[in-house]
Amino acid sequence: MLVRRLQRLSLAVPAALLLLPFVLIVTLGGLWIALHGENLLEPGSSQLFVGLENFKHAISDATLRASIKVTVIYVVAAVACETILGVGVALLMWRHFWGKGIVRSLVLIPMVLTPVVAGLTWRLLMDPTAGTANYLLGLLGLGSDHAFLADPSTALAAVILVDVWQNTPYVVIIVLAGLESLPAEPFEAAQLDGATGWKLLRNVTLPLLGPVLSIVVLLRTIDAVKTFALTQTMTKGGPGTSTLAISNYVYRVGFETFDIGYSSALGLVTSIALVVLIFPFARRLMTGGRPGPARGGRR
Amino acid sequence: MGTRRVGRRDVLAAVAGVAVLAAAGCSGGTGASGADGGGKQVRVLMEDISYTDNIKSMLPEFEKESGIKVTIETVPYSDMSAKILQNFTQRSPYYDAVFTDNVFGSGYFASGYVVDLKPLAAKDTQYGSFDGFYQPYIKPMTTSEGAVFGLPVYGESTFLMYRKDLFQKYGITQVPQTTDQLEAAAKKISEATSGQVAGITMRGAPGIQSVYPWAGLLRSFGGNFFDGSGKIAINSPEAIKATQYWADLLRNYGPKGAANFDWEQNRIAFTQGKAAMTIDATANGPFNEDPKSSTVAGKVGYAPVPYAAGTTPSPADNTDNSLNVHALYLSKFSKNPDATYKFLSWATGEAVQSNAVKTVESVGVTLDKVLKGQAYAARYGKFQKAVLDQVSTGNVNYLPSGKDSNKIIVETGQALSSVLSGQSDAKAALDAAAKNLDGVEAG
Amino acid sequence: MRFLHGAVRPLLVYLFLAWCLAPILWLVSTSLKSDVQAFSPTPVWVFTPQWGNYLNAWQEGGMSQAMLISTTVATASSVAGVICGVPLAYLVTQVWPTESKASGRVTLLILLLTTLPPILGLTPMFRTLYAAQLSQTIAGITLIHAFYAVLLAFLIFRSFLVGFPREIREAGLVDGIGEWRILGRCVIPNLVGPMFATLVLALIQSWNEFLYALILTNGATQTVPVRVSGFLSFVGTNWSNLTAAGVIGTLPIVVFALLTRKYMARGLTFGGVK
Repeated sequence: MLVRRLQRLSLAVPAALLLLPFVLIVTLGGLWIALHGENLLEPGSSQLFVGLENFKHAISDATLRASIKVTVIYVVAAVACETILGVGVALLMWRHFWGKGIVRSLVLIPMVLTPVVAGLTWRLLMDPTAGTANYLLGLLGLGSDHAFLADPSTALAAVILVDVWQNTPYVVIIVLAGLESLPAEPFEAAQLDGATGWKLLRNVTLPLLGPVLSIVVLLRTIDAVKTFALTQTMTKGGPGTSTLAISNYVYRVGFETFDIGYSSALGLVTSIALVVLIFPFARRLMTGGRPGPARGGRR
Repeated sequence: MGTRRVGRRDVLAAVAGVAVLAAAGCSGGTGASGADGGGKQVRVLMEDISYTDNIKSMLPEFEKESGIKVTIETVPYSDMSAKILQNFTQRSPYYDAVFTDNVFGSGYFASGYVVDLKPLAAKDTQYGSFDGFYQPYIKPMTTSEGAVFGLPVYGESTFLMYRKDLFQKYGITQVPQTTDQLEAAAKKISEATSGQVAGITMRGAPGIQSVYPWAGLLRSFGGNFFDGSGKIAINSPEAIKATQYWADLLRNYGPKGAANFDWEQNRIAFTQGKAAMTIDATANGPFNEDPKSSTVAGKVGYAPVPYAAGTTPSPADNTDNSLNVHALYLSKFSKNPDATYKFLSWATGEAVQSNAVKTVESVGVTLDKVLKGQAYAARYGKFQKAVLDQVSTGNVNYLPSGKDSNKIIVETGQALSSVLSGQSDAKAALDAAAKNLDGVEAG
Repeated sequence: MRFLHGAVRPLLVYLFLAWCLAPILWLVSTSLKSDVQAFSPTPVWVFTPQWGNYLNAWQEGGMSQAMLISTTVATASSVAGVICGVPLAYLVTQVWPTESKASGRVTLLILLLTTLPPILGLTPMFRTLYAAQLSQTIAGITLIHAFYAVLLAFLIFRSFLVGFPREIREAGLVDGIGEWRILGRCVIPNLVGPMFATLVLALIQSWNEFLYALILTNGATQTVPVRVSGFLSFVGTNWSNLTAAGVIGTLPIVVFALLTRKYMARGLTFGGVK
């Protein structure tokens, strides 16, 4: 019996061998650094124990507060737009139309594009002098010298737009697959009751999609909170602090001012905050055997 | 029984698989951490810039001549420091030398990551000595104790570039010498063209991009990063005035998008004729005068950075322009300091710099002989004098040097960006930056 | 939704497709222009393709080397991810019932680990790898990517295993076969497609990773995103070479993504949808 048990547990060994050291190094190493006043430009400062000083500093840090605000706006706006737009497009693509297979493949492309490349592409497109976006707006008579990324009133929106461009296809693909796996019966029943159009959508389709949507929102949220490459390549967090997401700020503190102790403290706090925030949702979605929408079926 | 054995074997196989992968990766790597051993191997992290291209192209000659194998690596400029410091703090001998600007270099020297080159230079004069450099370029590499911690590859100062044709067209007879005149000229052109041509353009992107040209104005208004007692003073009344002036200038008469301009975007705005003036690096000269990519070639005048009336006795004493030198520094942890020094002195030597003037963009070469030579005059004659003048009066302390320089630049740059974008006013932004820099002292 | 019938519906879909693809097409066209054309204030529609940009990016720009390295790193790390992640996924779905507490806890733990921001791990990992003489090597960056690949492989493969009949394992046990052999002989052969999809998604993740790769590699071991961003220099970015490099670097993953489209939705939601 013991042998049996050991054999079962051996299934976890390869994963544990890779994951455990990594997690220990990152969390304990990160904590150790966060408790010390290390600055990369000061040899020996890595041994300078400062206790919770770095965490205390975070409480009164105005730039941190600004970057939290930016991140919250970014996550909420981007995820909301992606979800609404994505569900809309998925509904349009639900029933058959000419070229559906091809469309389904091609919309994937923005999603797999390296974020660095996506950010640079859009930075050029939105350039106030040579950008094609301005040229097109000029053709429409809307002015052709918008400096989208330099104006604090538009910079964040512009970066969010690119996130939406890159990640809406993700929502489309997933929601479309969700739609296609929905059982036919509820629809037939509702139609017998005379429900059509918006009513059908609101009372039957969307509720059935609920579980899929929650998972999409959860995963997109985790991803959006970690956003770094897009903002870094498009604006470096500027102008002012208007696009300075948390990761950009942590990077700036650690690798531009080299205050690695404070940077690690910020990184830890961010991870903990994120875990606390998503924990309830994640637990509901991933555990307890509550089936996903179509999990009953078997292939 | 049998099944159990298979189970274990499979586990072993899986574990071994990962190990093999790691090992395969290992042999595919380049044997880091000085695993190369005894051979004369030099590895240098360099800026990705024309001067580096030139050095790369001539490298085979050097390797043949000296028997030293040189590996040059490049990463984006903005991420260079992170990389260099991750290695230095681990006392890694991986990079024998690094190539970056004096703001960083002086910090590395203060931290003891790079060495004094004097003893090495005394032993090896094959490719020249410190005396060969244009003095204003080697001076920033020299400490008050006489140590020399870097060999300059290229340098630049800031100056005012203006459109002679537009000045004439709109009746501006006096090239701005004071900040008031600068603003008046910018206003005149901006209004006369109803904003079609911006009065002036400067870099506004957060960080060193905006701090670099702004620092000239800071001193123009009599401000400085530190006060007399070495305490941080970026929220002094002069600094607030300078910042307000700078932000108003760009907001009222600058091109759209200046708040995000880096060096390249600013240069493009000026060379595409979108602005009548700019204050930026002497390195811009050749780009202005290149008829292939510039619409303003032949129409540009060059002058010193204006000063605020009453702060400088006369234009001749104007030293408000920044001086920036990019140099090669030798790592303290290098296992081959002699070979590395040989490479550094070759890379900044006459053969290499002469070839640079012949083949690549190289207005910032640093040897006296090359700067004042025929080939340089033939190529950069239009602004050779302006460059030499500006560099010789350039103020190397335009940015604070030493360990805290980056922190100061990042915090100040953040404040500038907030003011320029209208997120906060000059006083509030600079007060906040000063607060974050509390305790930082002159290095 | 009556107005959405007929031709309007596909029209809107194609509009969305155009919005998705226009920037990509723009990227490709810029990669074929000269630098002057790329920066022209009015778009240049007709131009002679500068195939030399690609040659430059490939040879002098070092994309050939970066592609080789990224292929090695991405393949090795995603294979490691699958090797480590799949048995664990089998454990929490087939050996332990998915409804069990243990299964739920392991799954939740792995999901939470994906929230670990790379920015936090950067310095500790650099130091550890440095001490192990693995910093700046392909092995080092592969190990890091393998960590994230295990998480992804586990979550994705678990989603395919959740619906897999547990009776198969029970039958195997009755026959006296061990767990590993059941997994290898009875389960995996039935899930070759999902396995491939898992591998590809892990591959894409590794291929696109930027931050660790930036700090933990050097000139000889740079991966594709790091190499591409290397074209951004302080003085004078070469946009045509940069965009050409971007296109080269993206091509393989686009092809891979298209190959595994069928399993994408399910894999991407970790089983939230089928």
